Amino acid sequence: MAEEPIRGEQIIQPDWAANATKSANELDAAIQKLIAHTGVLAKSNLANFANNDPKNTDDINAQTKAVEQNTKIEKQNIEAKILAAQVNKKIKDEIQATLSSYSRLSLEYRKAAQAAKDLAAADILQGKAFSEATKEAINKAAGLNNQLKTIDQSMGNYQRNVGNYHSAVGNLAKGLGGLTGVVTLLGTALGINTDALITLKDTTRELIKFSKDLSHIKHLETIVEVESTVAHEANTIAVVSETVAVENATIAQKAWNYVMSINPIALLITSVALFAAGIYQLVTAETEAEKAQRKLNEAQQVGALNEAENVSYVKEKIEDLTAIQSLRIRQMKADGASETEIYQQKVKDIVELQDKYHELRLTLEANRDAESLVMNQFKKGSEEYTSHQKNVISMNRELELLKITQSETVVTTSELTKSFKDLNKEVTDSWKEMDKWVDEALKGVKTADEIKKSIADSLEDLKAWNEEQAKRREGIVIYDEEAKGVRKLSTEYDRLNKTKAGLIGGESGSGKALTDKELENDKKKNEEKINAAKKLSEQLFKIAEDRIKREQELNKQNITEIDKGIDQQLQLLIAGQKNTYDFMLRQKAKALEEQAALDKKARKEKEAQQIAELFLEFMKVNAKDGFGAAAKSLAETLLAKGLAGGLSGYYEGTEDTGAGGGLDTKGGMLAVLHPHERVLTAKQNAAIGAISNDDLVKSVMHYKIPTEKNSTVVDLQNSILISELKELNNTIKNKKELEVNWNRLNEIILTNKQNGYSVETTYKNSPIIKRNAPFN
Amino acid sequence: MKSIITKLLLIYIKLVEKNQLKKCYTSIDDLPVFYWRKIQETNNLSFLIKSEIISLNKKQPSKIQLIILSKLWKSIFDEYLKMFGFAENFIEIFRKINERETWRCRMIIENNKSHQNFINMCDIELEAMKKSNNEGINFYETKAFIESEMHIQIDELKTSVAQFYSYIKLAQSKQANGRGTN
Repeated sequence: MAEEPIRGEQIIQPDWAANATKSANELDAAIQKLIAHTGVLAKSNLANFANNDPKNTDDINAQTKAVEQNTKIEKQNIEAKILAAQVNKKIKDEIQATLSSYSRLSLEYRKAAQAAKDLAAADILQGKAFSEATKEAINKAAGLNNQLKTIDQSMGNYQRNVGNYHSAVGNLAKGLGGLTGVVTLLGTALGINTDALITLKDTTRELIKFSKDLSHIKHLETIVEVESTVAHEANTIAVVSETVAVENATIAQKAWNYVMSINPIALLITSVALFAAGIYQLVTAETEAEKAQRKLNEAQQVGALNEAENVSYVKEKIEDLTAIQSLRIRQMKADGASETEIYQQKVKDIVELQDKYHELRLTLEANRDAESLVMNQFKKGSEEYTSHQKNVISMNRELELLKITQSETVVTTSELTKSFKDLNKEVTDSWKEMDKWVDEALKGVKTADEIKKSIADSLEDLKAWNEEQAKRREGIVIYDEEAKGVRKLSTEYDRLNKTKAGLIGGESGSGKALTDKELENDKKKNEEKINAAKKLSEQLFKIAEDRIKREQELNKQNITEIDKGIDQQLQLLIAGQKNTYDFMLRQKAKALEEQAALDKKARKEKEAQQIAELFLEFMKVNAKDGFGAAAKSLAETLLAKGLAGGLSGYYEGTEDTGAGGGLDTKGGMLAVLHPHERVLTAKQNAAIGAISNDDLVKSVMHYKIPTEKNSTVVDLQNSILISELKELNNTIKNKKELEVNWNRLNEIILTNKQNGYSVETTYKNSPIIKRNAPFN
Repeated sequence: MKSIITKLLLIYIKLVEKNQLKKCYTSIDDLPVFYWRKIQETNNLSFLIKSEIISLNKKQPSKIQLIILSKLWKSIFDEYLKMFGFAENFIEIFRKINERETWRCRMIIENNKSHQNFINMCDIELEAMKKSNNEGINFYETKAFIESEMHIQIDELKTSVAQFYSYIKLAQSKQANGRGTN
């Protein structure tokens, strides 16, 4: 048994590897200290995460600090585990190094012991004493064994000194620094990740505890086996010895009785014979005891030291007693005691020896009891082992179930996460869709705003146009006054013509010569008429000049307004909105043309005025001589030219000729027409309404309204406006309208309206995601 | 010597603070919502300083200014919270962080790594909640919502923070009531 190879369990012997044990202690202390430290910190920090809602920024800051603190604690915890791993590695290395050298020594011993045994067996079979080689081999094996014993003893392992199992086992957990140390060391040595073991919490702890118990039971089993073997052997020896001793004692008693009852000589002879026989038996018993001692020694070598020592002790006592008895007999002989006394003493000694054997028997019975106790313990241990084994199976099942549950939890978690992600995506998509709707709605609002603005602009334009028209009408009133002046001039012109005709030849046919006085009177009359005509002419040209100036001013104002309009429309054009930029540009071009025409007209007026003045001056100079044919021709040409210059206002066209004149009963007045112009009646003009000639042309060109149907349209501008309003109505009606509402459960309700239909969608609250109005 | 310098520095800061505060918005009643938004977008507290010219960008305040303005911003923000409280989704995030940290503490105290599963779940949820919060309605959408609901035009530079958030509250309650009666 002593030569058994080193088993796996031995690596967890307490002091087998002192350095490793020390490291394990350090590790355990460090882990416990750090875990305790981080645990206390985490516990104190836990209070900071009470489920109170934040009230102000201090609460937010407090949470941020507590989170930082938690991170630090976690970091410390991780560092502790890293340290543990480092120490684990150190222990593992040390154990491996030690195990390696010890194993080599052990192997060498086993080889030497086997060689010694083989040599000894050969010698015994040959029936001769041990040879030198055998002795040498035995000594070598013994030396190696002693070395191993020394190592074991120095490390607290008494396996080779059988008998100290209990204390060895008792020191097991203590030496390794408690359960954690055992687990860590065992885990390290076996290459198990102890962190993973610890993670399994209580189950793992139970398993570890069980491992310890199992290990303990295995050791107990070994001890029980060894102790049982030793006790059995000792018992057998003791029983044999007892039987022999009892038989001897009986014979000695009988002999004694016989000697005492028959005669002293016979008694003496018989006693001597019996004594000799008793001695022989005693020697035999001693031999048996020696044999038992040897067996015990052998047993001691395999691990039953205590009992073997007991047997040895008994043997020594018997030897001592025998020696004492021998000495006593010698002393009695020396003292001259009689033979009878000596024999009696010897018999007493035999009885004493018998008592000693009896005492030995009692001791062995005690050993049997001890064995029985050990057996019971073993049985109990076995039962415990069975129970633990059942527990292990049960725990394994639970562990399997736990693993399955964990797998299910992982699957459920992943499913939940997936569902959650899907839900999140769905909600996000819904929000994106809603955002699109909102964008569209906003665009719709924007378009509607643009249309409204365009209408407002159009209305403003219309208003401006109306104002312009009003101003024009004002101008027309002024023009009417001028026309009246012109009519007067025309009347005067007719009268002058008649006078002229009279002067030149119309009355020459009478053949009547005028006297000087009459001529003088005529001259005066002519001069008066010319002066009157001059005054009238001046007034007329002044009126015409004022009118042109006013027209020019109006046109300038019109150009300014158009410029403003152009700026506005340009902005709309840049913004990509609906505009009338081109139209405004055309308007401006027209206004500029009109301006140029007015300038030209003003120049002609001036020219006509100068000519008229010249003519009148000429007439004045020739008034005393009368108006000749040249004067007549000149007058006709110049005056006609001058009047024509003043009356050419409709070349550009007009929307309204004003109040009219007094040329006929219908309010007729002078006007100059040009080729291919259109003249409408007052009734037709009234039917068209207040619309400019340009707009009229544009409307006719643009909308292609047949002339026959035109009579039903009261106001084309209004028709355009109505058309635009209809368009706007359709746009607004067909536009998507989106409303976002919240109900009392704070759920989002989307209402989508289009073409008179309304669709409502309610978004139920997610347990995780809620959307409220943003605040930060 | 060090304490004297510290005291002098504190006196100087107080003096600067007194002068600085005269030029700053000090309450949600006078801080325009435009600058409120700019501060939150840019983290630049210089927008708390009043200026005659409307500027979209401002340089970061000096260190002393930053101390003063941080204090001021805290008081303004607390005033806002007192009046309107935190948004529900923010509180949800706050609670979720508390839950996660509780699991972390328990993992350390009980030395039980299985709690890491719960921590991971909390992290996933938090990530989703934060993403959702970031993708929420922006300022202009909120403004449009108020304008459409209240039929008013909001001038960012003239509307104070208190007014703006009161409008939101009112518009929400108006909409909720309208919806409720339907």
